Order: sequence, then structure tokens, then C-alpha cells
Amino acid sequence: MMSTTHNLAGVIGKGMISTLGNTVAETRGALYQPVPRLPELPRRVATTLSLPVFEVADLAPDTGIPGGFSLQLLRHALREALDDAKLAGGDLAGKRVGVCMGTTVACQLNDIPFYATLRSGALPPARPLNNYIAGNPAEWIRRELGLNGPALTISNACSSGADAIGIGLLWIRQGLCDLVIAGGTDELNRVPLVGFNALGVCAPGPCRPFDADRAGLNLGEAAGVVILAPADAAAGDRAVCAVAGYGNSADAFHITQPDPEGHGLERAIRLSLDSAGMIQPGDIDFINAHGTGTPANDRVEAIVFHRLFGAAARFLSTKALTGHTLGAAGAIECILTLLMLEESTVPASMRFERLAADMPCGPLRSPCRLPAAQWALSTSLAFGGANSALVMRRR
Amino acid sequence: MPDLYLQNCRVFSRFTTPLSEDDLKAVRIACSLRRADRFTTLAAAAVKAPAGQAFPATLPPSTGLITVSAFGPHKTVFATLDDILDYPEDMILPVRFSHSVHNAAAAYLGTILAITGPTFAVTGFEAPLFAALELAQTLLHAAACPKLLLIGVEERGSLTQAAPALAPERFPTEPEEIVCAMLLSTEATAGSRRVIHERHPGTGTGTGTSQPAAAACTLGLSEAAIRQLAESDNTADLRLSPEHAADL
Repeated sequence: MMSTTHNLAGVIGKGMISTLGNTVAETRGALYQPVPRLPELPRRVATTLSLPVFEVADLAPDTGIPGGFSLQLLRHALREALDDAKLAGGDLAGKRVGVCMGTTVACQLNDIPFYATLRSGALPPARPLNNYIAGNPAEWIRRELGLNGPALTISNACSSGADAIGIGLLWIRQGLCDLVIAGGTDELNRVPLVGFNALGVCAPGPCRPFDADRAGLNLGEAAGVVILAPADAAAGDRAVCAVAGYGNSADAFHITQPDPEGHGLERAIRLSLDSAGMIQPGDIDFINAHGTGTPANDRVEAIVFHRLFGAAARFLSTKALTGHTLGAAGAIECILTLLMLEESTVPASMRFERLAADMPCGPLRSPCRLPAAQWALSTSLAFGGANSALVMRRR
Repeated sequence: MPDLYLQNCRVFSRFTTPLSEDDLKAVRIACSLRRADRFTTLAAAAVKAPAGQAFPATLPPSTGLITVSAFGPHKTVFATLDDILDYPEDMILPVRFSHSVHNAAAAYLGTILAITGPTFAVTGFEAPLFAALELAQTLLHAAACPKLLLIGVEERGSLTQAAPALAPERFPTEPEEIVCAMLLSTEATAGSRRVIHERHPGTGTGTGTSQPAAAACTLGLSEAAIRQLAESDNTADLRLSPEHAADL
């Protein structure tokens, strides 16, 4: 094992909202509840489909912000992360602050009434277009906070949030930024809901990641934001946990299906371990898997984990707790992984009961106390064969 | 940060070499893009269209890939909305939905070119090409890939056509359709050009850079910059400054 402190990005602030809770503190408590909340039929999203989803219920819609609900979720998580990092607006002045955000819904103009008017030949109201443009997540944060560092919005589908944090790590390492605000956001929206249903990947009931009877995913909504600082600077040095490594690799295989042998995922994981200071698979204490609950995704991940980490690979999926939150997923799963490192405890992989015949290994059936846990991995797989892996370290 | 060098570049636009629908049809056939949408075909044309400057037929498998667009595949997003408006929700065409995401073009390009390096779809409205150039430099500096292919695509459609009427301050004219391919590395080679690019200043202070002027395209390039990019015989430093329409 070889790793150096100067390659770490200390996590000096965290903010998160999902169905697990509106704050990191609420999330921390809910993460270890033995009986998780069940997904329910959508309330805010008008649809005829009877698909259970994980919908954030306790955040009042705010019309004083551009963009859709994705941006409201993001602002909520951003404020918490800045508070957690003890950063007021003035504290950012004069600093090189970068913003890197992942999203899928916020970068598509899928306003149905707007489009219905446009296709009828009439001129629709300008507000949806202006909100869409002003609601680009990274550019919105840069404007909102008056920053002048890099602002990058990544739309790598379901790995966007992990990629955003990975790029934040690289910016810190390369000395491009003093601080990086990184994460992801996505709201529940009718378009992806009907789209994922059309792809045949939505479960009719609560999702069961890695289970033999898994029948697909439940969509969810969330935002997660971390504030990163160099670990050899004062603020970063005080951080309990850090982002330590990042890898990204493409399958070059299929537009929606993962490479069944998972070569791209394996490359991404190996790159992330190298990036974390040439650590070895055996150094990883546990893995927070992408684990959507779809047959193809979960099988590939189990195959790769078995190949790289052996039959005793210790992994779980948190998507039975939050649903699949698309562009936010990699970001909130990074934060959940950090919480597990802080608590030295990994929860059970919810609703996993029985190992499928085509899976070489299964996730944790019960909570696992790991007092000496130091290294954790979080994986993300996306449409288009994008694979990302983040390594987190408790210091 | 190490210097960034442009090894190859192709730009298709009305200011340089235009792409015809016949060109796109040829790309569609050559690259087996039977199901892909026009946005993805435009992205593939950036490197595979018979017209334009020569471009390497093969790239190292570990080459990185970034696609960048402001509006992305908005025509395919709208085609999905057509489905939702015209049919029951359980009759949406899955192929339309799967092609409506920003990174679908990157997925196709990776498969066409057999490259598996780090792959990103970048989107924004404040000169996003410059954010993508900065990302390219970050990835190359991190040795995440030896070379990086940056593809910029903006497609015309009903949204871009309506944009000047809906937001005339931001879009005095319809955003240009443009496709560009930039093969980048941190090594100077024969015929390469050093790229000196600025960051969009955002609204923060301290950059010493004035607000950008109106751009010819939503990627943030002026007409002069588009023409400059297309100068294949020019090996002088390529200085690019972000330009865009007025801030909101």
C-alpha cells in the first residue's frame, strides 16, 4: 500500500437531501434503521404509471429560483454543505473556488406544456427556456456565490455525480482550486419515469439490489454536495475523511447495456485504486456498489467485485433506501460512504435475501462493524457504458 | 498546468466546411448508425465525415473523450415528448428515450472509435467549450489518457429556431449549427498548435477579464475563432477567448 496525504482532497463539508432525510444528520440516523422506508406512488409527478418511487416530500417548492426542482434540491444541499464547512459567502472571496456538478434532468428542456405550445406553431412563454439556461447547476452555483473558478456540469447519466466529485479531486490535486464544490442533483420527473419504464428496467415493487428476485430499479430524487479542500491545507487537514482516488473508463460496448464481463468497470476501479496511491484491492474495507436492482447491472458488479476483491468482497447497495437518483446517485453514495467510514459501520444491503445462480457473490446481509475501516470504494455505472469509481479514506 | 496542443482539428459550420444531409447519410452508413439520432450522427461526422481535413483513422484505445453541447440532443428530447403527448405513457419508444441523454453521442463515439478512456458529456451555456478544454487539460495532466478527443456539437432544431424570439438578449440570431473535433495532447508534435485558452469569467471578481461578447455559437466561439480553428496549415499558437451572448 502506498498513499500520500498531498493527493487527498479533504471533505470539509457535506450536504445531502433524499428520502433518507433532508440533512446529513437525518440521513446518518436513517441509514442504519433496520426497517427502511418503502417507495410509494409519485405525488408531485403526474403520471398514469403505477411505479413506486422515492420522492422527497418535505421540501416546499420554491418559485424564486431558476430551473426545476433539481435546483431547489441542489440549493438545499449546497447551503448545508457550506454551513458544515463553516463557509459564509465572504469566506469564498479571493479564493479559487471551482464548481463541478452532475445532473441529467436539469440539462434537458423537457417542459411538456412549453413543447406542446412550440410544436403547435405558437410561441411559448420564454420562462421555461430562460429557467433551463439559468438552471445549469454548476453555472448557477458560480453565479449564486459570485465565484470565478472553473464551473463544469457533467451529464454522464447515472455516473454524473461521482464523476463531478472525481474531477473535483483532480482540480484540488493539480492546484487549480483552493476549494471545490462538487456533487450532483436530479429530481423525479415524468420524462425519465416513462423512459425508464419503456426500457423495461423499473421494478413493480420495492427494488431488491443483488437479490435473485430483483426485478429492476425504483427511481428517486436527491442532491448531494461536498466541499473539498487540499488535505495539506489547514481546513482539509482537519477533515475526518477525504476523497482519495478516482477512475473513469468507458465500455465502448452498448448504448444502454453494460459490458457483461465488466471490463470497463474493472478498469475504472483499478484506475481509482492507482489514483489513491497505488493501493491494492485488499486494502479496500468495503464497497458501496451502484446496485440498481436491474438484472444486468447487479450481475456485472458482482462478477467484477468477485474477480477483483475475491469471494469475501464486502459490499452493499443503498438504492433500496434512496431509489436510483440518476445524476445525483454517485454524489449521495459518496456521502453515504463517508458516513459509513465515520461511523465505522456498514449497514446491511436492504432487501437482499437470496443469491442468484448467476452471481458469484452477494452483498452484506446484516450490518457490519468495521472499527479499523480506512478505505472504501463507491462505484457508478451509467447509460452508454460509462463507469466511475471513487476511493474514500478515513484519516 | 502543462501546455495543451492541438494535434488535429476539423470544424464543420457555415463559416468553414458545411456538412450536408448527404454527408450525414454517408456517416450513418459507414458507422452503422441505423438507430442513432442526428445529434449523434453529427458528433460522429466530426471525425468520420469524408469531407474536411484528414483525421487519424484510429486512436489509442486509452484516448479520452469529451462531448460538449449547450442544448444537447434537444430534438430527440422533443421526440420523446411527442411520444408522451401523443401516446399512452406505457407506449414510449425506448430507443428515443435512451438517445435523448447528453452522453448518448459519447457512447456511440467510443464504440465507433473503439476507445475506452475517460469519457465525459459536458453541458452549459457560458461558453461550455472552454469548460471542456479545461477538463481536457485536467485529464491529460492527470495522465488519465495520452490523448483526448474533444467533440463540440450544436444541432439546429425547433428550439434553436425559436430561441431568438424567446430570448433575444441572449440569442440575437439563431444559434449556429456547428460540429468540431479537436484531438488534444500535452505533447508538441510536428504540425501541432499550442492552445492558449481562457476561462469564462463567470460573475466573480479578480479575473481581470471583461464580460464576453456575443458569440456565433452556443459553444462560446466567435466566427473568427471558428475560422481560426479550421486553419489546418497554421501552426502558430491558437488563442481562444470565450464569447457568448449577454448574461441573463
